[in-house]
Amino acid sequence: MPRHLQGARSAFVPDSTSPVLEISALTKVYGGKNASTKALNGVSLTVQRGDLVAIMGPSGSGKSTLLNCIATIDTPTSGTIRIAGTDTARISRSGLADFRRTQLGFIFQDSNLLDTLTARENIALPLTIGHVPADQILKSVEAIAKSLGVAEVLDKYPYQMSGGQRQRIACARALVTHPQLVLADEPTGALDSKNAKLLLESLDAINRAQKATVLMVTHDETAASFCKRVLFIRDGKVFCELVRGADTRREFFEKIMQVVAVQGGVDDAR
Amino acid sequence: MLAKLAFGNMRKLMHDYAVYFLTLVMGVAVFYAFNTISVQADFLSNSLSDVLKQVGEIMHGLTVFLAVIMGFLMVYANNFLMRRRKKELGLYQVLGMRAGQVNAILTLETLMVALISFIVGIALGALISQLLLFVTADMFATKVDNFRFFFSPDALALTFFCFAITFLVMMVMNSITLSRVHLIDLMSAGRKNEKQFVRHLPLSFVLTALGLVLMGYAYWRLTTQGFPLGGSNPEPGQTTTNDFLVTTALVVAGTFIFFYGFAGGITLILQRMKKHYWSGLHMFTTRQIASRINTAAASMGLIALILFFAMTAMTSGMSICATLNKSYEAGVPFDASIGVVGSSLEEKTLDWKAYAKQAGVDLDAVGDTVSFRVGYMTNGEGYLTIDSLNEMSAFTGKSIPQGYEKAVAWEAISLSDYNALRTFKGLDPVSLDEDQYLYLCNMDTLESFVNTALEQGFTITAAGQTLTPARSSVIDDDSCILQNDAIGKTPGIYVVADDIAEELPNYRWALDINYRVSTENGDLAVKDLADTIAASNDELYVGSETKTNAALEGTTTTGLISYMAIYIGFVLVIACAAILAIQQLSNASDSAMGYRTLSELGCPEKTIFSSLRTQVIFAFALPLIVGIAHSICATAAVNKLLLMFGQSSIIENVGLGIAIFALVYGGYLALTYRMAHGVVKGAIRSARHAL
Repeated sequence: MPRHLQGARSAFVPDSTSPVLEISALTKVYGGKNASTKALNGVSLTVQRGDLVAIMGPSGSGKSTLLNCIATIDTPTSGTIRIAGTDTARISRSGLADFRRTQLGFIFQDSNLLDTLTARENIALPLTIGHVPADQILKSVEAIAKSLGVAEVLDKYPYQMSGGQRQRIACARALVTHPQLVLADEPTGALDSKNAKLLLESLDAINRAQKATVLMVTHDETAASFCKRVLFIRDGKVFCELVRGADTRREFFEKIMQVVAVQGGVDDAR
Repeated sequence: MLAKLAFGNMRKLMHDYAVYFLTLVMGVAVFYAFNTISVQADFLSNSLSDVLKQVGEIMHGLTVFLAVIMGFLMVYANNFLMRRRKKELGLYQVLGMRAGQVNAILTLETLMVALISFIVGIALGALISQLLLFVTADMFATKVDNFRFFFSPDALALTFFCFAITFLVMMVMNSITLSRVHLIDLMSAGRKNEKQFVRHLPLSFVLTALGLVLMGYAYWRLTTQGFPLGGSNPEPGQTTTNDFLVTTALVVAGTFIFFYGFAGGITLILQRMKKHYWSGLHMFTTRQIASRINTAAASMGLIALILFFAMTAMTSGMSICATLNKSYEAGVPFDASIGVVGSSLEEKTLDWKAYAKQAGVDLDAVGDTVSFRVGYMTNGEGYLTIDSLNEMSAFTGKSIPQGYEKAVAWEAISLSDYNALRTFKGLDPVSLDEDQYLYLCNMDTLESFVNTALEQGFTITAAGQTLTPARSSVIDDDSCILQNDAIGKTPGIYVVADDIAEELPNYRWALDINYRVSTENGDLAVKDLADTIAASNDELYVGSETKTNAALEGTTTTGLISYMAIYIGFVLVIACAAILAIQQLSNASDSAMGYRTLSELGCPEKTIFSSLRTQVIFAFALPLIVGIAHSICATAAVNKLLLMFGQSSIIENVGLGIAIFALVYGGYLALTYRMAHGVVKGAIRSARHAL
């Protein structure tokens, strides 16, 4: 992992001995005294370097809130989040932008590419914002695009690409800075099954090749089955955890389906 | 129910598009205020009353013209807003509303918007018009007598009429828009990735260059050819109306082509500057600006042209005023002059003293005077006057300078009279032989033409004698102006020896006075004397011109021109600025999610807002710069034209015009940035729902 890219003009020095993500006793309460909602109710979890984790849960389970808190977009009510050893609550407001740029990568459901920029420019954005030298930017962009199989659309605009291509460009944008942690919010949500599979395979490949750590929120069991670990969240708590271990993807998929079915059953029984 | 929806929508719109409302209100206010000028006349001195009533008529005509342009721009703005509301309108229909009902909502909304902005506008206009009264008084150099609050029903009616038509067109356009689109398009509007109008970059570069070349060529044509002065029957060598139309077409085409190519051209150049382009948000800013210009090339070109027109109207108006003021000053060197035209009189002398006595005026007490007789040169056969300029042209082989073809030079004054006048003006007397003549001329362009003839020994015949030029050049000092007149320009007067002058038939007499008494008393005495002479003989045509009177005429004309220039400039500039503002604001809200993404990618807010500021400033500056460039060229040509009337071509007095322009345009720019800043800030700070 090239240090000059990772730390470009950043005050944050990642601690390589700590886990990439360490969450303990996280709570988030919305609303005032009379009508408060506990979106997160004591979530604790740890993600090690090079992990590929999925978080699953029904609507309203608190998984989006969790992701927002990790992303430093929302602030938790109590508990701590450490990313590569840094307590995110201790980062100043002005430092947050810098932190996000250098330590985190984002992939959204609707790729959120900028319409006016070409694919190449979209991928380059986090690097240009960090004032990385132009030659290095262009080299990094080419490299990441090649590994995601989108090198041929680099000079196209978002409207000229397919949904799958757009999402892989968004992936490339998230990965180009070699962040400590990539946060993906329903990355396959807007894709058909073929494109979804393509995207997940690329993510998997990059996870293996570059030891990129990915935390993915998803509804989709197939997407989850590509991961090494799946955490199920319900009512603001971690409900259960599955580890793929030596299972094939199909076997892992079946296990996930069982948990989902049980979860559904519990919901129906209520 | 429909009314409630419409009312809610209108309030939301008023908030989101405050600039649009501000413009409607200002438009109404300005239309009303400027049309109250005939009512304002009631507060000002009687002598101005008639003038102001005439100005009022011109204002009404001008208002209709401006209302058409303003209306056009407002309809455009409205369509622009409509496009942005497609999804909302689609939603109504999905929820089961009939197209007619949606149309009714829109119509109600438009009516409410119109009503509110009209009422607010008239209220504001009524206030402005009270202030404007004092500006008018100042412009026409007079004072306001017994001020009280006034209101003009005429101005109200005219404003209402223009405004009503504009809104009628808007309503029709709205229902056409609504009936044309399909529901699916309405609903999916805004969900697709916006298609980028990207033109081939090298082609864009060529287009930019072509646009610049066309504009440059048009500038060259205008500055070398000037305006078509010959009208529909130009003389050979003169600029024809067709030439001028070609120039106009070139500049219009050049402007549009330039805007079509500019975005791509500038992107191509900036991309070559690799270090700059791939750093910070520079590429984002470049692409945003390019995308904005590409989608709005036509309207930006149009705005540049309208700004050009507005600025030229203002600067030309102001420099015409400056020139007129200069010639008034030059044209009235004496406190007063009385001119008596009477070619039928046998008697060669006019007894001013006797007339003064008859009028009860002591001329010596009133002031210092000088009087003289002006005869006319005949060709020796009867009373036909000589045609000096054409003869000179035949003699030298040079053609009469453009614009002076109708000028005449056949007046003559005796050497004694002329020297008396020179002494009166504090100039040294001149000498002249019996068979010589001098030529008085102070029109710059004509001088060199006449000088050529004098150098070559152009001769004239007067009273049967052949006269040769005493000097090889004309006399162009202050003595060219024999008496007060409006223009202060003399194309040609001959000075001949006393004996010869005595032989020439009468044309006119004149008396110049510089007062010893107060201006008021002096003016009264001059009026008495002039009236007495006029009453004494029916065959005499008597005219007097006092400095006081000339100043009043001067301020009336310049006041009128300034008034129109400011009116035109103001209305057009708010219309243009409003369009730019609306485009920028809707662009900012279209791109709101993009700004949010930038923030999430870790871009500092400061950098984001600096990019936004650059975009807004650029959108306002580009059409302005093109407009200014056109305007400088056109104003230069106008000045060249003004050179024929006055020696001074320096653009003066444009300060007020520039100040108004800068204030309104800059105000809209600042307001737009503030609102766009708010939109983007809201988008960045609010939580993303999907995450």
